[in-house]
Amino acid sequence: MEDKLLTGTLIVLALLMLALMPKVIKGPRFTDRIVAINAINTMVTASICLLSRLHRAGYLLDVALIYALLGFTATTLLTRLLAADRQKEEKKK
Amino acid sequence: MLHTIIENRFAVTAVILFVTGFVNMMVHPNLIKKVVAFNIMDSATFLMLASRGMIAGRTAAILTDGGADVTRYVNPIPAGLVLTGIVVSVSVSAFSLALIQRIYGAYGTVDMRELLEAMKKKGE
Amino acid sequence: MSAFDSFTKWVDGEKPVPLKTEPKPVKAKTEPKKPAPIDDKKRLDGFLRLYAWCAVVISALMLIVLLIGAVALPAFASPGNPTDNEVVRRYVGSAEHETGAENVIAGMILNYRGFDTFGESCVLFLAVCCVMLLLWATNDKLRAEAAGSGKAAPRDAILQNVAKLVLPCILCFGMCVLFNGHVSPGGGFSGGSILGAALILFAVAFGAEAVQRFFTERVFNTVRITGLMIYALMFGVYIYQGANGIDSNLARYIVLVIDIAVGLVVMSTMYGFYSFYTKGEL
Repeated sequence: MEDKLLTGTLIVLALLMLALMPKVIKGPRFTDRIVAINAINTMVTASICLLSRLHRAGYLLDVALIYALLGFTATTLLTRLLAADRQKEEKKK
Repeated sequence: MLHTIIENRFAVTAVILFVTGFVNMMVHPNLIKKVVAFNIMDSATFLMLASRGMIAGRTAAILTDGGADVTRYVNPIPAGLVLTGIVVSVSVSAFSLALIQRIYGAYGTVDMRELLEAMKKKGE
Repeated sequence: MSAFDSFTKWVDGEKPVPLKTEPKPVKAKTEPKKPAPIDDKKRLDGFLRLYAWCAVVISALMLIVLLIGAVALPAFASPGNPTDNEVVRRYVGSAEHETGAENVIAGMILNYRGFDTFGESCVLFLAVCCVMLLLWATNDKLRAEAAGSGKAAPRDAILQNVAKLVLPCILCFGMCVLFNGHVSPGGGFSGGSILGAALILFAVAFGAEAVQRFFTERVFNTVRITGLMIYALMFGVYIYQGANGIDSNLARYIVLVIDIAVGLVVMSTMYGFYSFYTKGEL
């Protein structure tokens, strides 16, 4: 029963990720893509946690932690670069 | 046919990813997109290696029972190969991105077509 | 005088008459130079179109060949896979008392295949050297240009407070992964990249000047060179001591030390990449 529930949740998460893909590929603005990628990162972290329960493999939780950390760092860096670019443009004006 | 494809789903996905990356690397005029395509090809290779290493009902080769039961663990070699591949891919990407940054500094563009024209102008 | 005549004269030992055909084509080439650029553009267009078509055709052929190969492989996760061989029994069966590492993958890459991993560390080292050579901002103008992205961003109170909370946890986690590489998943590469990510986060939140207080160029070079030297030294000692015949407790410490050395190299490499791409210097 529990396994079925976990599998169902994983499928729902995968569908949600697929639903976000158009936003990533065709987001009209740069920020849309960043937000969509961040949301996908969160869902991947959640699905790794679910997988670790499904396969009874505790070490996958470490992987989930690393994934969350790298996603956070990547998003922060991208937004930082964006902010710097905005500031440069404003200074030019 | 469909049955064999589903049986080998990871290998088929890896092949499709690899060819996607290959076409993009050959055809796309943007140099940075070429590097991205190169990374897609790398990911396809890692997926292939990792999926080949998997055997149903066995776990990763981290001994929790002191290595008493050998049939409980998968082969550690594909994991090691993926590790090597990731390191080399990171290094090559970093090197090519640095080269592209220098090219952008010298010619002001990363588009292959414009780059050829700019180089010709500079040569004359 | 034809070319054949001069050749026969040369064979006969007489003084060869120089061929006077060279200056003519140069003149012929210089004349139609003005319409050449338009012609070149057309030729380039044609070539690019041909190139794209050839690329697509070759890729389609490659796709077909590789798909046939992929479908012909043994089924995913079935016990008949080529990876299910006697190597597993050898590694899993004797890795623990030969290398002292419960994590067979760490034991394998740092012990049985130690030279391979040494090569990997050297690849990372060389990659940083190449990036340094290419992106080093040699004068102030270049530096100011490169610094535009990293330094100009405003300090962000939210990010700083989050970083204050999160960074100690990340550092602890990275150390944990690094030091437990031989008994649990992890090791030099993953632990080193976590520590590198922590350094990058620190630089993003508090500015590169904050990192420069303890991670200057000198420290950076010292750390990565020391890492490689420790690796070479430990592995050399290990090989000299007779490799597999060594006591398992000693082998465990060797694996741990090599892991830490790899972690140092990877950490400085990660931060080096970030720093050179954003600032052009360390």
